[in-house]
Amino acid sequence: MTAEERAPAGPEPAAPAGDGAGRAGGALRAQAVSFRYGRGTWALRDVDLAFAPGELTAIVGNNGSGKSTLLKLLVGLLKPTEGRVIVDGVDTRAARVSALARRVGFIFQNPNDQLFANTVAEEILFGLRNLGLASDEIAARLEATLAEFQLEALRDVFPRFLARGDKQKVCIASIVAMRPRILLLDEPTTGQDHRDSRAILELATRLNAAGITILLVTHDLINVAAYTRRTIVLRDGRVVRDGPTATVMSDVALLAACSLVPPQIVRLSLDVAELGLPLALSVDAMVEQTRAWLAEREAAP
Amino acid sequence: MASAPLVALTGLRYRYPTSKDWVLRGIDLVVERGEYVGLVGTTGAGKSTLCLALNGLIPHYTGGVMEGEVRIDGQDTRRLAVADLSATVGLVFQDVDAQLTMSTVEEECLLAPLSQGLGRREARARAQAVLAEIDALPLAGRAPQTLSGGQKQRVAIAAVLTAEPAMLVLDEATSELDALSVQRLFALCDRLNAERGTTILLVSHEMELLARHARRLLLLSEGRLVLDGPSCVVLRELDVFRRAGVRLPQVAELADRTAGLLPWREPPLDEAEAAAVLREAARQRAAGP
Repeated sequence: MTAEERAPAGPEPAAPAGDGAGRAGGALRAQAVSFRYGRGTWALRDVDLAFAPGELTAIVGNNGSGKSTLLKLLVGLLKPTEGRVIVDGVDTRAARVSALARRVGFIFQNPNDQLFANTVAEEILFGLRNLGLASDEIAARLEATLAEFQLEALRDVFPRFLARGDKQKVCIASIVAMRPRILLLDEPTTGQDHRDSRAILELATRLNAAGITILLVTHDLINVAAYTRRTIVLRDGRVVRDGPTATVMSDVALLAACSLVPPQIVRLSLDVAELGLPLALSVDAMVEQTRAWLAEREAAP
Repeated sequence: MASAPLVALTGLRYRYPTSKDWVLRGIDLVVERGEYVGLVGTTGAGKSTLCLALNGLIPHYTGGVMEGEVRIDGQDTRRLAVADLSATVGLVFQDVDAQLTMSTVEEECLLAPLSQGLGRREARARAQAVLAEIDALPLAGRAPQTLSGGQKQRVAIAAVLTAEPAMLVLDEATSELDALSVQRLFALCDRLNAERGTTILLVSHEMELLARHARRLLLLSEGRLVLDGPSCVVLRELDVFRRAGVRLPQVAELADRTAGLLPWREPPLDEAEAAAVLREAARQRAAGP
């Protein structure tokens, strides 16, 4: 499946229909959330956001806009100074982090902050043991996870000796093994080359297709445009835009005000809008649309 | 030896003391004064190692095994001290924490001019001018350790520029900067290159910016230079980029994938060039066969 089949060129509703009733969790809500570290300045102000099960959303913004703080609040690592965060019906202020960990998985920006075990297999086993699962269930999930992430050959390797892309894969595998309904990724492609970045985004898309709600904090707008359906823009701790990725990417002035620049293909697409080509969010989309556009002109009298 | 190129690498091979494999596997490269070069490659391709060889940190500080030759301004780096080389080649590291050592930003920026023998007043004037140029003047009194990642990168770049090096090497020095700061940094490199004739070598994953700003592109893969030429020529080699795991600028990829459909003459270097080709196609179709 190409990126375009997932990310249509035209606008679409910000959130999929349905409130997740009858599904096995994956809903997330921030209600009037404000946060500050100690008595310092407010890192987040009056944030209201809702994520339905199965969404794939990007959170973008400049350094210091509050992206990482928001992510830590949504996973329950930080508790709101004001307002509340509800994870599948559970208020994060009332829940233990371990209880939240079953519902929400958090992938750190730097894999070295997350990896600590002596082998890849031990890294995956750690979370599973903490869930208190039966030993045969733990063994089965380990094997399934190693197979799913193609890590069998690396199972006995010291994780810190792995290449950066593989480290990230082990981090995600060890979280996904716990089968959270929601996965939060903090700058997963920072410092990664194109090949590894793409692999992570493809993985996130696959997990999302399997029903996991995914939130991605990133400044990599090429991947945001190509892979996500909804984009939230933060500036100075406030949500300044929340809408379909196509609409947000077309708002060049808003993005510039947040020190962001839309991907080159989007800028090209906006530049030649008068030719009748629809907005393209990725090169794949632009190639398809150019073909269709030329065919149309071919057919016209 | 006024005619010697600024950089001349001959059969450069290098491996770190801790590694079994060669990180650089035979690099031949000449960079003349005033060139503006982009260097790309995946993680582990050897980009940072190559940068370290340019200002003598390899082999002087790293140890390991170096074969072949690195000549800067005609002189063999094995015979020069790193301090002497730093006046010629200014290198900004990927890891800025390794670079910032002084207690304030201003002192950081005084280090090079003072060590070059400038008086304190002249040195301060130079430091202030450079800090102003990269929007870091308000940081002058701050301790580098208290700055954000993006601020540290700006200060590290300023500190290197105060030496007024003949060549500026930025090794992924933009990873912590927001998109507009990255654009400003590329614009600063343009200015240094055009006005002072500073030779520029940029290591970056920002393919769109490299294509637009650098006139020559190098693609490094597994320790070897697999492409080297003018940007508009190199960007035709889609397959080589793919095999090396490096993406092309989006408009160059578009040109490759619509090669038979749109009237491309060479890969577009920016979206304006791509837009011109799309408009031309629209005109051709309107005019009919």
